[in-house]
Amino acid sequence: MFAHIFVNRFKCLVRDKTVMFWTLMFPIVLSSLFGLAFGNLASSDMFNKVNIAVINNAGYRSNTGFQAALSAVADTGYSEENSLFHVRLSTYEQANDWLKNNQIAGYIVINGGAHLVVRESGINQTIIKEFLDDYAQKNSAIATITKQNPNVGPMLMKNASESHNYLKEVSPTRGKPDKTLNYYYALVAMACLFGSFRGMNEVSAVQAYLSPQGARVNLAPMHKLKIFRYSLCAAAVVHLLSILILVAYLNLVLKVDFGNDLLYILLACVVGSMTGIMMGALIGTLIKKGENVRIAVLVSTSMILSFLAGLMVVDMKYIITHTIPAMAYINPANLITDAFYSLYYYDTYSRFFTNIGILCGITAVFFLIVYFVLRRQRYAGI
Amino acid sequence: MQVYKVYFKLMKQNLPAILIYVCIFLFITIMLTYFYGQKTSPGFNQTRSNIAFINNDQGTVLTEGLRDYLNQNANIINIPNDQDSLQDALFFRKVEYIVKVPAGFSQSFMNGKNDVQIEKTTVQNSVSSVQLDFLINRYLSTVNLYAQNMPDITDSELIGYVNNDANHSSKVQVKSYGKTADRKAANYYTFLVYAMIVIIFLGVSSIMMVFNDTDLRRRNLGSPLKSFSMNMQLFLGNLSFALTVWTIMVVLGFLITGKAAFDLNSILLYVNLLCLTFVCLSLSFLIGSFIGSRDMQQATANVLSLGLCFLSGVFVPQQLLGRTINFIASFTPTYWYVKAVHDIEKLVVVNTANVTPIINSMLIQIGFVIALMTVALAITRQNRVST
Repeated sequence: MFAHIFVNRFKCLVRDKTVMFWTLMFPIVLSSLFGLAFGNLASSDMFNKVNIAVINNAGYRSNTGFQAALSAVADTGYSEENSLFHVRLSTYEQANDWLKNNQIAGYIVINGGAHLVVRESGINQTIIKEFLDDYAQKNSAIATITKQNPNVGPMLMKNASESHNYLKEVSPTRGKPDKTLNYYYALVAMACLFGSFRGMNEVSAVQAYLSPQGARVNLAPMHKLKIFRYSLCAAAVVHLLSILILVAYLNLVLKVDFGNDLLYILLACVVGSMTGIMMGALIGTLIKKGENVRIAVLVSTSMILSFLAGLMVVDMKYIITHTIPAMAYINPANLITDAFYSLYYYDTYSRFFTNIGILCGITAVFFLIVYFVLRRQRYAGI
Repeated sequence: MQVYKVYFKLMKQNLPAILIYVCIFLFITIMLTYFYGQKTSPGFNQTRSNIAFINNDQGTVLTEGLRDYLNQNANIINIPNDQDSLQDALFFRKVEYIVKVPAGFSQSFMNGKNDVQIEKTTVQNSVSSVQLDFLINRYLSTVNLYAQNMPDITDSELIGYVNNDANHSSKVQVKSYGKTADRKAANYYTFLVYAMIVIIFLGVSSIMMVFNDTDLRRRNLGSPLKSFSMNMQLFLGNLSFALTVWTIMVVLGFLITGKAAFDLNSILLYVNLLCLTFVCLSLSFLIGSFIGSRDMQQATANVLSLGLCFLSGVFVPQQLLGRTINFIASFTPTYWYVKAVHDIEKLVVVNTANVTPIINSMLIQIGFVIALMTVALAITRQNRVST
């Protein structure tokens, strides 16, 4: 009997285009969009040149050192690819006007020291300030050295303009901490939770008042919960397959790092998809309103949970972790995200198993609730 | 006005589902406005990143100097120096950057050998990592400059000089020109794109699905009501719905920003949102005519909203998206909406040069509305002929 129900249910599920879309196509489309949006974060294409103005006063004209430092980072030539600033020389009034009209991010006044006039704080303004600080500190160092040791000549200027990297990147763990990876893991979590469509459909299929199949199943000389269990198995297998396709797509096409432990990745997928399916079954059992409302609740629950796990904006995940730690431990989307992240990140598996353990617990609780609501239901009228 | 009345009867039926979406997406928008708003830009009130400083080269002047220097520019969080605690600190983002000074670093560095390097562990692709790399390298470069050019200097003298240099930071003057940008409002109106697309799309397409049903349409075409009148009533229905959503959002904006503002900037924001409302309306009208089932409706709503939001700079700021993506995004109306919100946020002096780009962005949105409506009407016409 198991084989019969399983095989037929399997066929039904694979042919269900809508749910296939939600669990497979939608995450793939979304992840491709992530790939587009984040592919750029690591590349040099990221920065546009910052427009700035320098007040062309006596202070600037006499300060050849600053002129040299500025021309090193300005796009004076046409081919300056790595320059930071687009510099214009101007008068006070002109610069003020530009600043008011947002044509420049800020302007620099050389009056003894260099100082910066801006309208707001922001990334571009910070870049200008860092440049000026760097210049001021180097200048101060050069001044001190020439005062103490007047014999140093051109070597000093040469040394001063050299830039070194004194840092070595090491990772305390297998994977380097990475912000963008979280988006992809949260996406897998979302796909897992979309398994709730399958769970809800399985509940509808055995509830006589929800679907004609349900009515028919209730007449069959077989234990209803047995049928439910068997078809849940089919749903789990189909859902797992689509999650695996998604993970394969992320890993092979978008080059998302999932760590190397295939077996554990598989385990995370299995547990994650079971949680999703049971969540759907729970919503399907508890909400007795029409299909519209139930789908709305399903989609919004999955979206909100994924949102809190950092699907749209990754900082949200850490805001929740720091402000409401308990929420981070009961949000299935967050747990699935963390499970994948800890596989990527840690050398050990204790954090991974904590997450998987809690997920299993949540799934079991969902299952028990569904079981006790579904059992022994009788219908006086449909 | 039978059709108009039916429109709202149908809307009433769909209200529970739509209300759920309204609540959910507003929840997301409000969370983002409240929590995320302040964190987007490291400014002069310089955001100080949380870092860990592990010193295995205790007692040298150089490392102490470096530590003090970093302490001025970042928050040093004390974390036990063992593998597990460090891993966990990064995992939960208690810190975003770990500096580890290996034993013997000072000696090697001062001798100019540089064979012992400072080890860093950072969160990839974060602003704080770039900033801290820069700070540490700057400090060490300055030390190196002294060491190379003043060979006889003692270590403590050297660090004294370097610390003195490090205090030379340039002054920043912030000119407000009488008005400060309201970042909260700008954030609310940016993140609102997500909610607007979903809510208007679901509302409009739910009704469209009913009227586009083949049998029903045949029946309606046979009625004595002129098809022009019917379409106008439908159009009025859609318009009323969209304007209601717009009003609700603007009023919610009052609650979130804490004031009902009617200065020029705020009014421009409302008008801009109105343009977006029409964009969503025409987009829903066009796509709604292809939609046959509830499931497809949900699917389209989510792909459409998330896709447009990620591409046009709602979730990831436009300036981080790079030229290629921004170029692609400029073919979407939402890109122009978001751009207008940023321009309005920065607008303090009203003159042609400042207002023109904002008006242009709005006009481009209206252009999209006209284009989308034209296509939609052409398709409806085609559909009517074919059935």
